[in-house]
Amino acid sequence: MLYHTDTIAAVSTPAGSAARAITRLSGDDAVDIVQKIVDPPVRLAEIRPWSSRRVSIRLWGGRIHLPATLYLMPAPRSYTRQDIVELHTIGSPVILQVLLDELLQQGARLAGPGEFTRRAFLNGRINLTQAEAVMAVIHARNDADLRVAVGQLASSSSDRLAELRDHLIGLRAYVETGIDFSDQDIELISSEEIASSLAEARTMIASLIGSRERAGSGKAGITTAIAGLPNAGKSSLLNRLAGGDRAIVTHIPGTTRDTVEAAIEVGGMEFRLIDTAGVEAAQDAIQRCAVERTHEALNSAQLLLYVIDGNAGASEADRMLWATRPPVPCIVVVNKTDLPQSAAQEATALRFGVDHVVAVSAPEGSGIEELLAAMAGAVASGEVDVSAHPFAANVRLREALRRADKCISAASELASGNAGEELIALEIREALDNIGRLTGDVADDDLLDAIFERFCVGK
Amino acid sequence: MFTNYSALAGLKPQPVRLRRGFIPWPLRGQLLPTLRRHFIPMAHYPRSQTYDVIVVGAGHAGCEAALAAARMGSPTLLLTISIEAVGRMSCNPAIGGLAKGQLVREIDALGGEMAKVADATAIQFRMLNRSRGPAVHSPRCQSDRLLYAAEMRRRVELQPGLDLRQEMVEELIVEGRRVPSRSGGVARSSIAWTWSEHGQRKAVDRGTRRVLGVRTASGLEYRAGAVILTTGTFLRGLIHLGTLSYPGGRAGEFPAEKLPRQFKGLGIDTGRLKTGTPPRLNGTTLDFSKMEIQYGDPDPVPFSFSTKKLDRPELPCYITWTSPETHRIINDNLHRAPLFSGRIKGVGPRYCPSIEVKIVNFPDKLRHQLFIEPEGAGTSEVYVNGLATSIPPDVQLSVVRSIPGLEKAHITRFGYAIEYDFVPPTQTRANLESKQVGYLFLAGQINGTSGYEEAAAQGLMAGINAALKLRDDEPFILDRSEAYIGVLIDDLVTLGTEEPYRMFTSRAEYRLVLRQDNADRRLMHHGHRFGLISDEQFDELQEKERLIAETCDYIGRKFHGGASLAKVLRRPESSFADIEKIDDELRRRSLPKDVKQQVEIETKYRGYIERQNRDVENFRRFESRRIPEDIDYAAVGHISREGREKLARVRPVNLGQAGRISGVSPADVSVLIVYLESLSHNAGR
Repeated sequence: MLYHTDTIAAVSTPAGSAARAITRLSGDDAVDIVQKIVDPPVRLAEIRPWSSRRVSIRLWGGRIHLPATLYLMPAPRSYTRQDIVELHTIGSPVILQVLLDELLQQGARLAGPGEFTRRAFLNGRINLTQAEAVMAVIHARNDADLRVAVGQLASSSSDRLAELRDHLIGLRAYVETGIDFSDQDIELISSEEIASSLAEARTMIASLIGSRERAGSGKAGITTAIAGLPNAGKSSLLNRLAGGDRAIVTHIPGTTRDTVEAAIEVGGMEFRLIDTAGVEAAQDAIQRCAVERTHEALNSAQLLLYVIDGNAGASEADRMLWATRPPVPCIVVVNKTDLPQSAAQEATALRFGVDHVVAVSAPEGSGIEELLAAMAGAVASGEVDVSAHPFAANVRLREALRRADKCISAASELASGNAGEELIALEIREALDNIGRLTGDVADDDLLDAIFERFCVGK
Repeated sequence: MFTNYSALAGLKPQPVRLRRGFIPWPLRGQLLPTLRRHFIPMAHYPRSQTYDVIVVGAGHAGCEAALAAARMGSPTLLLTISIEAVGRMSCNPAIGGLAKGQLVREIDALGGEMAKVADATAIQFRMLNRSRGPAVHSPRCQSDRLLYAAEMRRRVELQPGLDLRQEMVEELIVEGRRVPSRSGGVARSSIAWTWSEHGQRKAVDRGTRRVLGVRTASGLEYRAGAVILTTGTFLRGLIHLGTLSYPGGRAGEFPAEKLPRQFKGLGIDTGRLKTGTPPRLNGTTLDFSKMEIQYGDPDPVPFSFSTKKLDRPELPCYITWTSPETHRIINDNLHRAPLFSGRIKGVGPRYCPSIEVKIVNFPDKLRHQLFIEPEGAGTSEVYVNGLATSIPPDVQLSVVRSIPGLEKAHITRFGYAIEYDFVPPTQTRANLESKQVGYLFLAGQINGTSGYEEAAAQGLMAGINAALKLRDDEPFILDRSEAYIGVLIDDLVTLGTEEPYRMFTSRAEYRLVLRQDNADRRLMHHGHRFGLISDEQFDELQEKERLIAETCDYIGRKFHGGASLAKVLRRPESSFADIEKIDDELRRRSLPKDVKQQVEIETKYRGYIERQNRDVENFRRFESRRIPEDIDYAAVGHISREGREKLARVRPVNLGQAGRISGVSPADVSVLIVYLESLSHNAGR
């Protein structure tokens, strides 16, 4: 990662909207990797640098032929000063995901946050004065990726991933205990047991890779959370924006218990609206659950609509809730303009430290056009970070699982050949490293816990 | 040559031993009297003695530290509360074991003493994990406890340039002020100055205080360039035995009370840990016929690469088990066990639990294994390994007598638990120097470890680093891919520890290359570089390397029946002896045993070793990217808040270490890479 020359790949156009998308590879093997999947076989070395060529990309075992325009930017005259290949294709998220997957299977690695920019900088391509900007990009992209990851993997796949991880840690605990405490009176795991446990892990991985329930499926679009105090009229606003009775609306504060979602399209961009339960001290179990879900939604949001009850006015509770909002672009919406207003809009804007607020009346529909324009504007101006692709989590998940599977299958082979346990342990450890990279967990801390939980070791 | 007889002769000022270029403190004071007076009152000089290095504590860490420093040419003073306790094994009479055996081999390769003393005083050798691959083979020996301590003391006494004295250190003499800046860095205003041996002014570690020596209970002051603290369990040691608690450093020894109090004033945090030890019995009162006998290996392998022949009488160990009655007695008396009554607050090691903890935490386990280990040839006392406890003496006696073979046992010493202060090691640098006080080194249990081997390894590293620092040389830091010692120290200073830290082979990422059999090949060049390994021994290693390379080359080229000898050797069932059988030329070479062993391991493990070496290469890329010591993390934009706090606290020395700190994300490391790069560009302009 430091001064790596391995080949990284990523979709480098923003998610969601574009009709055309660019998938970019950078590194020593960029040309070789692309060469493996283009049709008709072209000798890329013969393409004139900085010119394009129309090709067809074989995907899904040759079942799909994807037309693409290929650009080659050889080192050192490229952005990263490494060989860069760009594939310009149609912008369908499904297609991009398949394409990226294919490139990773051919030996590329999914680029980390801001990795292209970092390579450009480290290879002296970017001016030193821009170092600060490079760091900001890495930081922001990491945040954006995490946001997407939280939103995407907070589903059953993350539970199954955790289960797989626990299974492997447990197995490693058995194997390592056999090595590190072999002088003690403990029941050791037999190689048959290791083999069957490894087979189980492989089944788990296979089912995760082949799972139809994709992380992020049906979750396309820019995640937009509607937040505010109870009874600010968030659900009415969602209903108005989505044009239907998606959420139950009553005058009773705290009616919304679960997060309600709706997808809308504004100016060709898809927004996924999430109505959150008004955050307030939870009184019962259902409300506590609701509050938890609200936090989850807020944490994965890319854009926030903060709704204030214009009739009641911004309160102290509003100020406190506002202070804890996630660090994403935010549009302040003053609702209930059909009722008498407690303060001028300018005063409210000043209070929240924003340039202006959008005044709407959810029941009457006034100001909704203005709000939609503000939402689209936030994306178009680049304020909303849409560079993190919702399917990146998918691709990353599968990449890690495939690598883990390779280790586990090597371990199985070792176990059946009665090879040393230290070698099996090495493979399991590497499989865990791959999974840990997804979840950000360090395997070794948990290993000792797992050993001491299971075994009475120590003299 | 000086031996310590002169040191023992009395308290009158000793002639100061001179290293070439070394100017004793009093002279330096005369050269620069006005400036010096600012921080060292002249009045102290007549009463004080001057050394390069003072080591406080003569346990396993202290002895290694003192020997290494003295051998590297630094006149050294080793102070101990009790001169009888030099090199004492306070816990079980054994050296080595799983992962620990690897440490001992590494200590030996670097020129430490533990392996040689163990070889000279062992009563039984065993290579553990023999049924598994060579990467996890671990040597272990039973030692004659009294002989071990006597042998270590003898070696300390015979070492030229090393004085041993019985003194209790009460206080560190420290100069300089520390003014931390808000970001965790150090403000410029706190630069302290000192004088080099040639009378030139030079900056002491920016902004840190510096230790100048120690004051002892007898009212004496000793001045030194560096001080190494290896105080074991003696810092505010508190012994627990049933419902009784009393201050003590070990059973029957004084604790050190004043030093920990001074730490607070120096800004050094302390924590509390606990450890325990089992009762000892009179072996003549035991019925060994009811126990299983355990002998050592028939072909013992010595610890030290320099030991050619082992010439020691062997004594067996015995194995017995707790009975249902044992469990009943302990369960009935838990209210009197300090571990369960809330009396003990320190955290004990999970891998070395007391018998009461084992019985409570694992009620399904009907019996626990106990090893009866002889304490030595000169005594009938035995050690009951596996029965560590702090329950009251009367319960200890009933517990012991409920065990098959011990029905009539006489307890010679009761087991006890001890709580003690340690210095959470994230406050320590990778060269084992304190971050708060310059030239103050910490090694052993004071850093939160447990075990003789872990202590000795740190002591050796601290001794080497103190000597290096005094000559303004680069610190000696082993990384995680070079040695278990590297893993040990990196874990401590990067992650800290919450329980007494013990080495496990699973802690080493590069376990397949960090083997006990190749410790000499990995580390001896360092030991030789520091003068701790003799030229003869190093030449021997060179010859061994030559033979290994030659043989590896030969078996790769020589074919037998369509397959190279290397390929034949790689088959799971074949060994070096098998290829010797089919190749006359190879047999004629009659290679030494250790050469054959290395060739066999390297050939069989080859794929894996290459894979680990690739990982190591990748690892070193990060490890070699140094982070400037005066980096101000507040000035680095775009790092997560948690990452910034942790980085400012641990102050990692390189990017690899930064990435291992929990709470520092890969993105934070990325940002740091860019920041460092822009710094070095700026500096280059």
